[in-house]
Amino acid sequence: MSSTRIPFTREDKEKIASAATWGLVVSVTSLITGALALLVELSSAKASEVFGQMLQTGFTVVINIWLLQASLALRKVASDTNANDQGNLLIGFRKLRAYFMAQVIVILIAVALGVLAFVAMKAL
Amino acid sequence: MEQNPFAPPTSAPPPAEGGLVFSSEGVEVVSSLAKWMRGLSVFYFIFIGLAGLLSCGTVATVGVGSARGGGIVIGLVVAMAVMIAATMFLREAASGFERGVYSDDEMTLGAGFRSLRIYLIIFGVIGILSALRTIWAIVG
Repeated sequence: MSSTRIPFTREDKEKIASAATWGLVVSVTSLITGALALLVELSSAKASEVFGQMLQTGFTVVINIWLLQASLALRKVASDTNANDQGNLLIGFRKLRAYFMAQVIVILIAVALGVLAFVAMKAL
Repeated sequence: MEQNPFAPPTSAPPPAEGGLVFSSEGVEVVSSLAKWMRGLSVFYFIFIGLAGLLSCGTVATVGVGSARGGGIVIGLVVAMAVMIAATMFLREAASGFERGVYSDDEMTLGAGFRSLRIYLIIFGVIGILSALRTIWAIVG
């Protein structure tokens, strides 16, 4: 993609800026919730629960940093001062892809583990 | 391929200088993004179906007449409605991005961003409520 401006309409730019803002809201609230949930679990005595929550928080942090980066790149696309619209758009799309891809992969792993646990319980 | 000299003139204007022209790398990234977005939407549909089955099970066992059963069913129906809306907007965003990139059309791409915005608003509101609930659980 070449480094040029994209002739988005004013309305489209406003929507992109708004999407980027809400992306920031989603990522920041998810990071806060993940951190708080980890703090709550750390206060509990069970090591297995703490480990599980640490894994979940780690995943939340990674995917929400991707969403944060995508949102920041899209904000640059919506701003009038930045000339590299297409470069920022590509960065935004790459980070969004990583965000959605990680979610699908984790759901697949969770479903596989759930099926395995169900089969193991039936076998016992 | 040789150009046909007798072909009628095309109605589509030539692409504007400095307009949206995606490289093959850009097309590949967006095409892949759209696939993962649709993949996630399939899981959302599965969750919606499971929530529907759960609400039917609740109606059968507890009954909607009781306060507890009615509350669970209303909660599940609201959650299903929200998830259906989010899933539809996610799919629309995926289609908008893909069509916009394949046709080098910033208007269609803009439509994709509009759908993505609504999807993110839904999850933003859910995220805020979830954060408030966690804070409430810690404080309370």
